[in-house]
Order: sequence, then C-alpha cells, then structure tokens
Amino acid sequence: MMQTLRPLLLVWLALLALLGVELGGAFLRLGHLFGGLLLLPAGAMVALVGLFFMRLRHASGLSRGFALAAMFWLVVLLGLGSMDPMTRTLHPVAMTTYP
Amino acid sequence: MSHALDATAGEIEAATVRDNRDNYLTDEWTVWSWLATTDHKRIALLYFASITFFFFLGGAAAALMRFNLLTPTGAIVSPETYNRLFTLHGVVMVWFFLVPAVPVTIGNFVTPLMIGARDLAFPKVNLLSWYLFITGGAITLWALFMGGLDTGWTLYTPLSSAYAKGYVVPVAVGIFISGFSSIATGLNFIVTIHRLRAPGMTWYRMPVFLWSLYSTSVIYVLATPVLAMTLLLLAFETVFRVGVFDPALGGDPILFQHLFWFYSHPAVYIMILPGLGVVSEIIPVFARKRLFGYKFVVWCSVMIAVISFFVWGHHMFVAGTSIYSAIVFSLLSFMVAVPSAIKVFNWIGTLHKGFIHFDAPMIYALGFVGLFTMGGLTGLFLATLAADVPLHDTYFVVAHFHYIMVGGMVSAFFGGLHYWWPKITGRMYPEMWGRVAAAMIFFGFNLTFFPQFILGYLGMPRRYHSYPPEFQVLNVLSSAGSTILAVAYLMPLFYFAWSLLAGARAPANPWGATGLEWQTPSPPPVQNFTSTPVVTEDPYSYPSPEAIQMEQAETGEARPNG
Repeated sequence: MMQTLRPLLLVWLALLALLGVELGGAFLRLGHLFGGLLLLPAGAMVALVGLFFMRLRHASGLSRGFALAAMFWLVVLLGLGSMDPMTRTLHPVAMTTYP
Repeated sequence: MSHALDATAGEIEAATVRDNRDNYLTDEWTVWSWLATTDHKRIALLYFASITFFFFLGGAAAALMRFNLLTPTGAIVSPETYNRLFTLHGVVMVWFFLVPAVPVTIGNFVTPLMIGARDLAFPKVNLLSWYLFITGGAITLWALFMGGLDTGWTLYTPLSSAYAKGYVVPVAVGIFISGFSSIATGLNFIVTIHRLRAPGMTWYRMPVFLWSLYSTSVIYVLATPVLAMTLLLLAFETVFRVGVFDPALGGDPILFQHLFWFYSHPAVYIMILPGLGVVSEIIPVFARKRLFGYKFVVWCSVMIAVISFFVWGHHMFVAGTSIYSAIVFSLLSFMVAVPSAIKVFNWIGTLHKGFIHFDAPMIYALGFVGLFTMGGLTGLFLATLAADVPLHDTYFVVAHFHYIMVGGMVSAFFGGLHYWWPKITGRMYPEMWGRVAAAMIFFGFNLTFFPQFILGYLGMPRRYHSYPPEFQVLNVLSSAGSTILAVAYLMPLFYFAWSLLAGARAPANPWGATGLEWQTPSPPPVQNFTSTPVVTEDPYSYPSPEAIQMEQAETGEARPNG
C-alpha cells in the first residue's frame, strides 16, 4: 500500500513546491522579457499530473486524446481570450474607493 | 434498429403482459433501496424528482416577475426583491434545471438501454453525482432564501465581489459543487458509450440521441472546470480581497466575463444538444421514416460542441472588449449556425413524404423545430456586431435565449418524457391531454415571449423592475401568455400522476419504434435485458414509404403501429 502511495505523495509534494515557486514568482517584477518564465513551473505541474496522476504513458489512445483535447481547449481559451486584452483600447480613470 | 435477441419477441411480450414483478420499480420497496441504489434507472428517477422541484421553483419566480410587470411601476414587489427574483430564477433554472435536465434524467435512463448495456460504466459515480447535485442545490437554495442575491445568474464582477447585497460565496459554492456532478455525469456517459456498446453496435449504428449526449459530455468534462476555477477566484476575491477581477485591487473585470462565458456559452449547447438528440429520435418514429442524413446529423452535433468553445466573446461586444476581438467573435458565432441549420433541414427532410402521426411527443418535437429555428435565427441578429449594440441587454436577448432554452429545450424535454414515459413507468398517459398540453405550451410560449422581441427592439432593457407606460400592452400580453404557459406546464404533473395510478399497462414497444430500449419489457427488468442484444442493422430502419403504402393497401389499416 505504502509503496503505491509513496510516489503519488512525492509527486503531490513536488506539485505543492512548484505552486510555491509559481506564487512567489508572481511577486517578482520580472518584466515582459522574463515574465514568460513563470510558465515553466506551470508546465512542469501539468507534466507531473499527466505523467503520474493520469498515467498517460500507459494510457489508451482515447485517454491521451482527451488529455490532448484539454490542452487544445486551454490554448483556445488563452489564444482567443488574450486577443481582447492585447488589442484593447484603455481609458484610464481615477481609482474608485468602495464603501 | 433491427437486431437479434436470444429471447423472441413473443417471449418479451408475454413477459410484459404478465405483471412483471422483477422490474426495477418493484425490485425493492424500502427508502434505502432508492437512496443507495446504483441502478441507472432509479437514479434517473431521483434526478427527475429533483429537477422537477427546481423547475417549478424557478418557474414560480418567473411567474412572480411577470405578475410584477403587469403595471409600469411594478405591481407587487420592490426593486430589490425583483433583483433577487430574477437572480433566483436564473441560477435555479440554468444550473439546477437546464444544464442537467435531459442528460441526467432521460439520458441516465435510456443510455444503457439504447446501447444494450446493463448499466452505466460507473454506477457508484452515477449515484455520487446525484448526491453532489442535491448538495449543491441545497446550499444554493439556502443562500437564495436566507437573503438572496441581486447580481443576476451571471455573477458579474465587480458587482458580485464589491457591491452585491447577498450571499455570493454560498451561491458560488453551491454551483461549484453541482459542477462536479456535471463532470461525473459526462465522464460516465463518455466511458459508457466507448466501452459498453452491445456487439454489432458500431458508432454509425448508434442512435442520434447518444451522439448528442456524447457531444454534451465532452463539453461537461472540458468546460465545467473553467467555471469551477472562475468561481473559486471570485470567492477568493470576495473573501480575501485578492485582486483578480476588481480593478480597484488591480484586477480586470472583463477577465471574469471571459472565463465565465468560456464555460457558459458552451453550457448553452449543454442545454440544447440533448434536446436536438431527443427530437432526432422522435421525428423518425412518428414520421415512420429513416432519419434523413444520419451522418450529417451526428457530425453536426460534434461540430456544434466544438464550435461552441470559439464563440463566447459575442456576449461581451458592449463590455469594453477590443473591436478586433469583437469582429473575430462575431464571425465565429455565425459558424455555429451552419450545423444547427443542417439539423433543421434534416428533420424537415425526414418529415417530407413521411406518414406523420401527431401523437403528443411528435407535437412537442414539431413545436421544438419551430421555436428552435426562431431562437436560432434571432441569434444571428445578436451575433451581428452592429445589431448587437442597440439590442444588447434588452428584452430581445431575453426572448432569443428563451426561444432556445425554454421553447426549444423544455419542449424537447417534455417530448422525450412523453415518448419514453411508457418505458420508464410501464404505463400509458392519456394521449388527448398530452396533445392539449403540448399545444398549450406552444401557444402560451409564443404569447409570452414573442412580445418581448418587440419590447427589446423598442429598447426596453432587461432586469428592470419598472418601465415606461407605452410598453404596458406588450408586457400585459407577455404576462397573460405566462399564465397559459404555467397552466400548460402544470398539466403533465397531473396526468402523469393519474397515469401512474390508473394508466393502461404499456406494452414493450407502444410506438412501433426501432431501438434496443423498445425490445425489453416496460418497465425494464433490473438488468435491462435478459441476454445481451446483438445489433445487425442501422438505426431507424423503418420500411420505405412505398412499402408502408402497400401494407396499408393490403390491410386497410391507416396506422402502422396500431
């Protein structure tokens, strides 16, 4: 039982560590040039989940297909979704104080 | 669908005629046997009871709103209460009726029967999904009744995170939990359709309803997590003041709308795709014809599911998004009209030269075709960038999506319920009352919502408690229609209850339909089939119109299925 759980626990701890790196990185002023580096821990988390929790290495073609579909839909969300903020006209206004 | 069973048709009929005591309804009588059941048929009935409750709760809120709008100043409730009423109506109807409605009830019941399986792939997950659903529903209801919410069902930020008077986080938690129910249901259908099809049932021998459920399930599994993440972020911002969507905290309010609609537009297709499948089942049966263009119809379901993910930006044309983004989303939105229109053409092609019987399920299905077409065509107005600017947030939008979701989806749900009612309960319902209710729903619906197109065109905004006096005539017409609609929706409750007590015993196949679910007794035994069926022919293999004419000429009968 422990032998089965141990690798999963290690992967979970690794995920938490990567989450910490991602969260800490958000407070660093990396600028446009290095801001993309924060995608690295996120990508590593995706890889860990895919390889160890979803066991995609040993999975059927159907499971891999669905995993790929999820990635495809993520690309659609980020791709089509970023089209708006990247081409939006901003009209700065004074900051509002909420009651 | 032609197929070979170990048991002969005569044996099946005999099993039906005698009072079958080992069917799933009479197998065990205790309350626990229902609450702990893993039988997909019983779980479907648990879902039926749950969503019927939510449907009438949401309907009561709608009735109160329409009553309030009888006078320009608001007849019965304060503006604050009105805000809470339309929020309750939207939240309950969208997440606790429309999104689950057909898949968890009719889908749960007939999917294993249609593919010749004993149950869904994960029966325990199926039961878990029902418990998740009612838990989410109970938390949401608690919040809505303890103080309610005034944001509308969309929970837009910063209204929801900074200004809302009400229980934003508990409602978000309730929806979050019910989302896991959707994911569990979708996962179950996908695996079941892939792994449990009977021998001989290839993909192109599957009924269209299962293709629709499959497409819906893909959306369930891939889109719902985005909603879950969005609601979590909303809760974090509201509770911990972490700036995600609130501009005062450094967030972007439009980001909420992007994430929300990335789920909620595909969710529109979660609501309507199963309805398209139900109608594709009913029309061939009552037209006594093969479904015209079967492969086109099934691939259009898949295309609708895929394209549904590319069009969410059309909800945000006037929200301050970039003009370039709006143009792209406008063009993409037109794309989804193509597979939808192909389906309508295929239904009409099926009806053409068919031997049409106007039984209640068929009347619902024909009503669906008309209302869905109307809702779809008015959607093109709203996908057009220039037209959407004046029409956005008016009653035109309200009318448009109600034509799809209520006129379309609810008609399909009722059509499917009438069609499979004999299989589910083993009893026939009074046909005349079924037809009257179907006709009343069609009439009441149009009287309620058609005036709202005109109101919206004239500029009446949605979600307002009061309105200028010149809009009163159209509002009174709409409220009058809602009264007819309410009565029509209540009618099936009574005649279905009567049917359970005193309805005639249903034979295994009262409609003379093809499909594996009609080859087992009504109601089905616990294990669905006495032996695994083998499928040898395509679906909807009805005789040609010429063959039916010849048969009628020989026998002198007007109706092939008696």
